Amino acid sequence: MKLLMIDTSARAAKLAIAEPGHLIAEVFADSAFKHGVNLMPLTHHLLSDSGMTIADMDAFGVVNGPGSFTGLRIGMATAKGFARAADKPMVTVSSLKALALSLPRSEGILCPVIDARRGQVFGAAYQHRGDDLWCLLEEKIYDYRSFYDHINSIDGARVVLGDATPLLKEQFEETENLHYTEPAFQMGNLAGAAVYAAGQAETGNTTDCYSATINYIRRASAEENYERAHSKG
Amino acid sequence: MKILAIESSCDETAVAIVEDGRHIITNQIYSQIAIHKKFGGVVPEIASRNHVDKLPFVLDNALDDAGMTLADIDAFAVTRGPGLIGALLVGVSAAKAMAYAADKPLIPVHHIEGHIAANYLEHPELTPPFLCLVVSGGHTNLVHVKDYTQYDILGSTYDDAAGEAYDKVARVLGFPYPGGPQIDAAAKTGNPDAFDFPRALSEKDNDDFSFSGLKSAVLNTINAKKMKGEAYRKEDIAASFQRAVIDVLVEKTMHCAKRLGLTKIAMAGGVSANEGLRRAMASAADKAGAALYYPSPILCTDNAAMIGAMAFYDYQTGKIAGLDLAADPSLAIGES
Repeated sequence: MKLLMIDTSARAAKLAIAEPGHLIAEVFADSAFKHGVNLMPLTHHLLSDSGMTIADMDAFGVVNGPGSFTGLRIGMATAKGFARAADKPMVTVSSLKALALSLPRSEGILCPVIDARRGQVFGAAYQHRGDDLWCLLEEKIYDYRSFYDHINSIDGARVVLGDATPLLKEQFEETENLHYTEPAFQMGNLAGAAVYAAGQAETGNTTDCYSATINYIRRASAEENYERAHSKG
Repeated sequence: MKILAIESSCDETAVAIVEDGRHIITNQIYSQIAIHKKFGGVVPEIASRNHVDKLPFVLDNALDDAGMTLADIDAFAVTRGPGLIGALLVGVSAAKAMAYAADKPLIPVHHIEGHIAANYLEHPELTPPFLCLVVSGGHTNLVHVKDYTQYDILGSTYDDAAGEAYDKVARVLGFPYPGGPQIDAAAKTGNPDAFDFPRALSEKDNDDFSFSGLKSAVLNTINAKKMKGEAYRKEDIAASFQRAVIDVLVEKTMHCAKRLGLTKIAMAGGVSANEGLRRAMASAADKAGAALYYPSPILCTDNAAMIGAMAFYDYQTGKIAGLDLAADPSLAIGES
């Protein structure tokens, strides 16, 4: 069971090929959101350097949000294209969960945060317990302060990671029980999510190119505005 | 040669299979008009979200309708631009992935060149050179089609596209989106001489267009009527506005054709489905002894069959996309 995993939810493109319990190849490229141009050449290099083609893949994984709306669509449209053309199943993994899976040996509470702009983050809290990843705080949009208060109410050492880490660090000081990941490692890597997704594919826990959806969490602003305008009076 | 084409530049998610640039095997269109109606126009983010969800279904509809599988396809084609960047990216990303996985060539196509090529699908006798008036919600161009992939842009709009002016006037008249067909219908029972709206840039040697002055004049007329409490017939406004637009489009097209000595005239784009425009252009072409071509309405508005048609001729010139093909929201004609 080989799975090709794609993550274009943030400014760096991440790709990995994995089997259950085994990482075969991985690439991280800070392409400054140029996923529309860079994703396919990166995919081709990763596959050909590994001596493989799309036809060798048994499933296609994609990080399906939250994150950059356009980035998510590039990753999802590409993964659906591969899955449809190769007639193979898909696995989706949330971007916040993928960040938590990038630190698999951590014993702390993992608090992934992705910049949602407007003074907000997409955030969650996870903890590795044995082979399982437990979700301790629901994935949603939080104001900086609200996210900070929520993770403070969880017992244990908390580790903040993800591209919004510097935003929170500016607001709230590091303490004995609140750590901010070093800038070089804040973006995480995709190995953990790819191995996890390969495991999901192995157990048949899959979706397909018709049913896989993006979890934007936030609606289009035109929808928010429409609702606001039509809920008054 | 069977080409599977994908079009997602605006609010239609479309997939078609076209043979040798001239024969439609299937032409599937998922229109998002109903989704965007309540916003009064296309919302780019919502259009993009729907493309990514609907594309696999539209693709399967096309293959099922054609009785084919992807293995029967010789090449893929996709609209590279111009259009909404987020919307274009969905089609381009999916097309690149499928072409790569299937190890088939991918042909990048210019959306407007596609509109022009829609004419090839229904008029086997039409071959370049000819003059083409491209009129849609986003574009107004007079194009000298010198060969299948060689163009001279003779004229463009300085401001609003013709279709954009239609949509804005329709909105003020209270017609639902998209307003073009509504104005066309209302104009039939209106008096085109009721109001004398301006015809911009009507000098003989100016091939460019401008519709913002016309649009403002219509809006000012309506506002003035409302201020004075005077009654007016929507149909008269629609007919007078449409007459002004058509006068300009027909006059400039015929003038260009005469100057270049072209006896074949084509129309393309959503506004070329306008019945008033078709009648007026047909009568002018007839007087000038020129042949007039335009596609069926379903091939005037955005579709993928036109992309598949154009792709066939692009492919003849060796135009094949690399893996780094980028969607280009402001791609110029002749540069895809």
